[in-house]
Amino acid sequence: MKVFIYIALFSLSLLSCKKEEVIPAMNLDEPYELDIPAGFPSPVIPEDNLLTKYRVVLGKKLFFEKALSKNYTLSCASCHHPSRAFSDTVSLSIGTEGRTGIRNSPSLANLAYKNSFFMDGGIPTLELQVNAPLEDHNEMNINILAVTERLEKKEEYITMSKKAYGREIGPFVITRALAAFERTLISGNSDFDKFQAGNIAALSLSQKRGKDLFFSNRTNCSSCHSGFNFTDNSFQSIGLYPNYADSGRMRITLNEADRNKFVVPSLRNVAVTKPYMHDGSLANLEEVIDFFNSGGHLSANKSNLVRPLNLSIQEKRDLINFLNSLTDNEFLNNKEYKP
Amino acid sequence: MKKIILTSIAIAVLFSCKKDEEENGGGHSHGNTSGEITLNANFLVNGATYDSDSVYVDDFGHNFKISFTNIYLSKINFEEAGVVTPLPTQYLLLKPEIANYSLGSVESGHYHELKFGVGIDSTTNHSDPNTYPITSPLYPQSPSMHWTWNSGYIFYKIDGTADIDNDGTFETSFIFHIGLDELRRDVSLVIHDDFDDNSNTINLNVDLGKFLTGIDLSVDNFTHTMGNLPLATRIANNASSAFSN
Repeated sequence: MKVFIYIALFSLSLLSCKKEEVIPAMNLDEPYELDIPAGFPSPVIPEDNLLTKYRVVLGKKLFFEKALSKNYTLSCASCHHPSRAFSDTVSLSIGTEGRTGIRNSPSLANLAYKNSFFMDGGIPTLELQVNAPLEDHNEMNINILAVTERLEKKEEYITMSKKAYGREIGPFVITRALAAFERTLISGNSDFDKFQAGNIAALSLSQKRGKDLFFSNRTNCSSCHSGFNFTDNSFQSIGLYPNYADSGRMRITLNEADRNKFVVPSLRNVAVTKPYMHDGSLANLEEVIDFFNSGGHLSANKSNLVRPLNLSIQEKRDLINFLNSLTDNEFLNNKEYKP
Repeated sequence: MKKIILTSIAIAVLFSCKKDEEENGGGHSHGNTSGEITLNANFLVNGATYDSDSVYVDDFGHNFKISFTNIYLSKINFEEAGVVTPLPTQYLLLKPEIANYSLGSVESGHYHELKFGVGIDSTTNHSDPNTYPITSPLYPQSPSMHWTWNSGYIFYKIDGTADIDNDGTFETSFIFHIGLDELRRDVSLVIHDDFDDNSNTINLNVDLGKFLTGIDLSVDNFTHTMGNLPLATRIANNASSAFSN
């Protein structure tokens, strides 16, 4: 019996040593320096969630943690795949209990530069955004207090939480750490960026023609997909349907002038984030270009900028080739973003 | 010259302080700090004691039961002759399973009115629940009392089931989740009470049936506010009448 107890104690000590190893040894307050691409501004970081290496490590661990879904089946990464610029491969992601929501899972690249979240802009901060997929019945379907109960049973979370934020694991730490990790997901090293930096060979002739079309008044693409992140973050209706099933931003503002409007998405890494549109209804970039070439459907609040373009087959191909040049392979393969 | 200005400012500050004191205490017997003030909440449905198993009748003759309710109160203040005295506890989440809520202490004396909002004031309504201490009613709740997709607190939930066809089975569920800055409603109750250094209790009746005045549960049985704002507004317009003392 005594031997048994010794063995049990010895095993326990081994286990506890193993758990300790999970926690990275680093200077706890060491700031995390964002690698800001040329032409990108510095993002605004909230005072209560300044980036430290330890916070980002904890956030990444949480991002891949399946205890964040009711049935332990999904983590954030289940619908935001790093190799897909943190978007999903299906039109509507499937939740922990097999249900689907109404909107396509967006890329998480360059979230640090956004000032509202969800396609209707209903959420003001990246920290508060964390609660939404957790509590949505069609997604993780779990109360953040239930997540807390699960995580506070795990030694590594207890320790990491105290080290990262100086407090117990709970809603504050869960939301802050995930947001901290997400703010590090910055993408700005595509072939287009290399071209902009002076490497004129980075784009093919077709891509250059596509770039000129993209930035022309003929297509008006860059009227909304503007700036370093290829979005002006405005809410627009493009006439995807004569009658939308999803009222978009009007769901938040209850203002008829916002009916059918959704936030303009960034086009960075757009080639790897299919399917497209708020509901994932367009399967590939060819369908997207064909849609915009058609001028869209007449519908409430439709943007005047979306109108028939009469693009030739070659012009459509050039545009798609240009959009392919916005893929940042360094970002997609970044080991820092993987478990 | 500098000295004169500084002295003037100091005198002005002193005077303004004195004025405030006079206004706050003027004409009332306020002096020492009162004892702990407790709010005793008594949940009712149409005048009868609330119980989740009990059957009640709506204005249209339908039997119903209420399975869940939580109600936020905010900006809880006393008022006496136009002077507002905030209670140390400014936010409460009323739950039927909890009768007594501490409101803290105020200056001893007579207070004419108890005032509060049903729901959360707009500044706090758009704050982040994750930032509050675990002891705060504004901290995340289970079941949740906050919408993240349209950031803001759920001011109150009244959920239950109704027996519309009167066959003894409560087949129709109703869900009333009310939020939105515009739907916060104010309540003023005459308490006309003296608060001394002993412990003090304020009784508050919360009649859930009053929220449903004029609501026909056979047709009006679901709102998350944004999805059915007209119904949410009708319920919110009933809110003030649900509180009495």
